[in-house]
Amino acid sequence: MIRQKKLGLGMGIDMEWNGKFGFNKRPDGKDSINERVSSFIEEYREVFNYLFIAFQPRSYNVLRAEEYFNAYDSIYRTLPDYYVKVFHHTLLNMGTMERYDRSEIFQFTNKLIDRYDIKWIVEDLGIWTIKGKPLPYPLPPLMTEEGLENCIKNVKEIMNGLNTTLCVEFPGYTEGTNFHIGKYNAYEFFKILSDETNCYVTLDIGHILSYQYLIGNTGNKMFNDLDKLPLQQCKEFHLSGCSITNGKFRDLHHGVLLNEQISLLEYLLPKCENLVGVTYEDPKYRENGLLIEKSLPNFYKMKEIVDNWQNCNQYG
Amino acid sequence: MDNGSISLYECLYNLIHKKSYREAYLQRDYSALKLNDSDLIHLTTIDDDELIKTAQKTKLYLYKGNTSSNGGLSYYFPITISVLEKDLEINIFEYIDEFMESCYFDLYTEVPFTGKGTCIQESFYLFVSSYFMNNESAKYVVDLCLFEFYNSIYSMILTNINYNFKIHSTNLIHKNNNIFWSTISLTSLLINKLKTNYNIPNEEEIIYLFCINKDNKIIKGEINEGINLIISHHNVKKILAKKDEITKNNLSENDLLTLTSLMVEKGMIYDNL
Repeated sequence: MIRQKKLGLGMGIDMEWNGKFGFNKRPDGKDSINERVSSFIEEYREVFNYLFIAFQPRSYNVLRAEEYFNAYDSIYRTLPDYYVKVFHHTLLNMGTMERYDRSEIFQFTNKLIDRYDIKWIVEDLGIWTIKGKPLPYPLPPLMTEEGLENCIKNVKEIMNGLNTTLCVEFPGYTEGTNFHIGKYNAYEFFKILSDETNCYVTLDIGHILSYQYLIGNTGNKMFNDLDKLPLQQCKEFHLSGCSITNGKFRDLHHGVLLNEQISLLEYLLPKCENLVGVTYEDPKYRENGLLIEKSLPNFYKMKEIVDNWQNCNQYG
Repeated sequence: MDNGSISLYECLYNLIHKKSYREAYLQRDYSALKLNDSDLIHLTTIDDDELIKTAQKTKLYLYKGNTSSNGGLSYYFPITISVLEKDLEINIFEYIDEFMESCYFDLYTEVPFTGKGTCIQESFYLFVSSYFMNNESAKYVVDLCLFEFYNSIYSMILTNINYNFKIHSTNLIHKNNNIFWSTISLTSLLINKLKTNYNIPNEEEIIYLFCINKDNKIIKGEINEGINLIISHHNVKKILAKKDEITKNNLSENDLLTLTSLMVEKGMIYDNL
């Protein structure tokens, strides 16, 4: 594995269409980022070194990259040249057990990769749609031998089909709209998948915590079993706002990081020698672009930890 | 796999989308799940509360939509749903459960990568139409649903020139190259229910047209019987060939030619002379 330059902190934004955080969609196709996102990027441009956009479909048209160029151009042109661009996919559906034709998805994605020099594509390993119908939250794949074989097959196909690096993200086990079928230990499942395909991985710290909660590794046991993960193949961490409600973990993406996420970040950083970046996913900010007050304490803690890590570990 | 057994993946689909299947599971009626014994063991990891919440949220998103592209059934069928609830005292969420149990729901796809299916609007209309099939007193509900189906699908076709779904009801949505059209007879009862939301003038009975013309512009509104007779013939050559048949229906030859010329001008039929 080639050691890469550490990028430090990145921002990840789920770009809605006509939502609070996202693009203004226009009937003439001349879409653009909205004022709120624009203000946020301007305010924190110097803090981050890379950006991911999470894909949301713009329309019910056959997937064509050209339909998204105006919108994506508008956000990328606000960034300095040194910014690395990453794309969080939502269509790869790596956990599906059905015949799933990705040719249109590859064509679409490779045009984006080409246009924007996207350095890696990330998506949560899981079942995003089933028989063409979306789920409210991606479910973990079937945690069975057959489920694992299928994931391996899907990941290999995707690695072959994309013109850039794929990072497979450890799935979430959040309370509220998420359950799983099958007894395979998720860390072992993920490690085998990574070993068999030689893919890079993304570890979402909240997703890791959600699984720790599920298997009873809470409190002092929070760091147990993490060595079972493919830490050497980890390229990226995600941190997004989470909460714990009635002893259950919730992946809320509301911008406010838990103390446990900060502790886990500190613990895992030195163990992931090939890590390139830490993404603050779905920050929440006001109209003027400033982060909401509740998110600030742990945002700054995360920033300090990541800055120190980056400064001490420029390459490898 | 044994005869009659389904896969674990199919089971997952049913658990989320089919209320009767989910309830059989929650009551631990395993024989009803149609799984192999070797697959049953994998279900022990399911958190029942989470399964219920996932199913509820799936249903809620069907009702109110989940993205800016998908408005949900409440957005596409506001009058139909209001009539179901108020006139027929149907609990809409229980009705949606029945919809999700139906084969019409299975036709629907939001993304096409496992094969193109119908849009949710068509799927729902087909269900409502089937549900009230032998119920003459509820025919007006089916017609309301048809109107709202037309209204939403024509908007979708207009804004999605390369749409990624199939239109199953080609007997209702007529297509001739890139012209689409449908007509519906609106009685005074239907007009009364629809007029506020859809800006229909207060009339006794009208024929209402939805059309996307050859220039991808939408034309909708009241039409006369003449236009209704002509439009089904698609192009000028066919219209002139069927002139005698068309003019049997209280339409003079002069009016036929005038209307044909107007419809060509508006891009509703092709001039292939």
